[in-house]
Amino acid sequence: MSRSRRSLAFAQLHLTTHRTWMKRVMMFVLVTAVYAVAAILTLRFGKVEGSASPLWPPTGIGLAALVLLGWDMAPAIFFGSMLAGAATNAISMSLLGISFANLLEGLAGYCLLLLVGNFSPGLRRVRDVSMLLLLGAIGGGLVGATVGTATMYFTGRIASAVVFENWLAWWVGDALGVMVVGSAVMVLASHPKTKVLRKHYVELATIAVLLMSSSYIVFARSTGFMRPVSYVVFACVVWSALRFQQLGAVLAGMCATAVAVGAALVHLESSLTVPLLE
Amino acid sequence: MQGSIAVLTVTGLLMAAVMSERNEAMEELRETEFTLRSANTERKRSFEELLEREAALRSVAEAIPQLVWSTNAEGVLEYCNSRCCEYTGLTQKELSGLCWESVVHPEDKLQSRGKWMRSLESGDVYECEYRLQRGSDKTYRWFLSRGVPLRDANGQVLKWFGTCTDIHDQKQQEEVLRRTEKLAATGRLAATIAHEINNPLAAVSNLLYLLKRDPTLLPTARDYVKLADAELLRVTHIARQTLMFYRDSTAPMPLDITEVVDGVLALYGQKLKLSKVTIERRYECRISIRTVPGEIRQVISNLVVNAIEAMTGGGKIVVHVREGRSWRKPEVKGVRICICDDGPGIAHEHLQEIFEPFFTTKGEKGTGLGLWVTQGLIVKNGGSTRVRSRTSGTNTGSIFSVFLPLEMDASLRRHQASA
Repeated sequence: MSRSRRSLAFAQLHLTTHRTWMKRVMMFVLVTAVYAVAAILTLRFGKVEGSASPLWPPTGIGLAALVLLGWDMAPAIFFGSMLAGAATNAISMSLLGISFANLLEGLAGYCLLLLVGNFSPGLRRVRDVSMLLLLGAIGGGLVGATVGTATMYFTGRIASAVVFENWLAWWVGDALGVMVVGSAVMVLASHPKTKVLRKHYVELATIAVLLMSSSYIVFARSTGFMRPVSYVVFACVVWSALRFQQLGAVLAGMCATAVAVGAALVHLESSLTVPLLE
Repeated sequence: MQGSIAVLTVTGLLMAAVMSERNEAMEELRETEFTLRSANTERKRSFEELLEREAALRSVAEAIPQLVWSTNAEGVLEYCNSRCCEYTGLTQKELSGLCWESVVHPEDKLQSRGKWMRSLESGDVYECEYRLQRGSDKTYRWFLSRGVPLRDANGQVLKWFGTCTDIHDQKQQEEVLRRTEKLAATGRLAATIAHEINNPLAAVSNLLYLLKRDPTLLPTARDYVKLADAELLRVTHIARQTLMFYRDSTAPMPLDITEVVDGVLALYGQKLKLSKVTIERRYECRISIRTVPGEIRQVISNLVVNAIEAMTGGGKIVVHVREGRSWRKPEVKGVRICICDDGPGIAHEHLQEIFEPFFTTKGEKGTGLGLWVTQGLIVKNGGSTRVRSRTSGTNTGSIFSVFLPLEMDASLRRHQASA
């Protein structure tokens, strides 16, 4: 090989490596940004005064980033959490602790999934869904909630009387974040080329309308005689899951969750017809 | 609310996962079904191909002239082609088991059975020559039987496949060749002896000549010398004739038949005397034909010797030479030589067989080749033969008529030249 050719090959290799690194850095920044934005939006619009958020999407985003992009995205969770905290409050020890708790939570969920092994983010098997629920959502959430609540307690941000309530809300919110948002991100990333057929457009629209309206009725205006409508929500989710499989399931779940959380937040201060921890 | 969301999401995801697993299972099932169907189709096609191949093989087995057979590992006949049944005159059922041995020549049974048993035990190729009885005329013909084993992957013999090839003609030709070689050697020996005694004969002849010129010789002694000279002349003639047999050219040349007949009769003069057989010559023409002298001499010699040997108590041989036409092609002119004897004649049932090789009525004395060779030589020279014989009544005897054309056929000449 001539010298010029060798130089060119070296340059190409260098460029490829450089590009890969650049890509990783960009991904890192993107994850940090998305995490931070999600956290800020949740803290601003989804936070119930005096309590933890009923749904914490950043946990799902963080776990999905780790599963899909690798463990080196873990610091992005920390930085994203710090950024979100800094945007809403001043930097303090408790913020550092909470960010650390979020980091640990993501790593714990990821490590548990990795330890048990053979987890597929496409969630095509019952085993994958079960692993995500038990290890990613419940297991990881347990670590995050414990460390986070402990930090808040020891920094004096919460009283000892509400420690358990806060811990439980944190845990459930994070677990829901993993199950609703995390699963959605994983499924969307694993099925990037999934297309809905033209003949299913009407069906999709019907499911969406039925799901959103029934969710609204169930979660926003639920009264005794309206209870049977809750079955419609289930029916729509099942319909969507059967027809559009993983994509349909996560989208239906997200729609129902969005409506429920929105309705709950709107009506929380006035009547709070639906308790957060039902 | 959170519980409902959790249950909804998990339910949806589980349903989707169950559907995916079901779809994958269905896909696998479809693939398996497709594979099975393909395998089934392939198996069917293979089976059909196998049937076609078997039919083709059976056709081949039916088409070839050999007797084809197959047995199981124990040697029990399972299949034989129709040629087997045609030849033996038995059905396949009759041939199965050890019944096939009933058509083997009794002298060959032990040998063939022994070899077959040894092959069955060892799994070696079976090869044996034996005679099989022909169903139509109950005659035996020689066959070469070969059997090869079909083995499985472990080397166990599953079946035996074999053929019986008719080698009867080949065996006869080998026998003819062997005897001909023996005769040729005898001929060479006779020619050598004749050549070797020629010189002493010449010396003795010269000495007798000198003795005859001796004036002191007594008249009685002179008569003895003359007698001795005459006998010596005859010996010289015989030696010359013997040499002529051996040294004759194989190329066709003009030949006076009567001269050939005279030469042969002179050669067998002593034999004729001893057998008390008289010769009557009827030469109606002196035609010269173009043919191979040695071969014609051989023909006439064989016929004359046969006639002499047929008349054990003496008799008369008439040699009739005249112009004639071919029996088959009347436009072909030639010469007809009839050699008639007044012996006992040839039985009617033997007339069809006398030109067959190894057929003889002379017992141990005869080779059964003389007339077969004679017939061959006549045909080779473009001629033909006829035989008439009478075995009963007052005038018994045989007449052998030989027609030889004036000129050999062009095609025959070419054939001889190339040979």
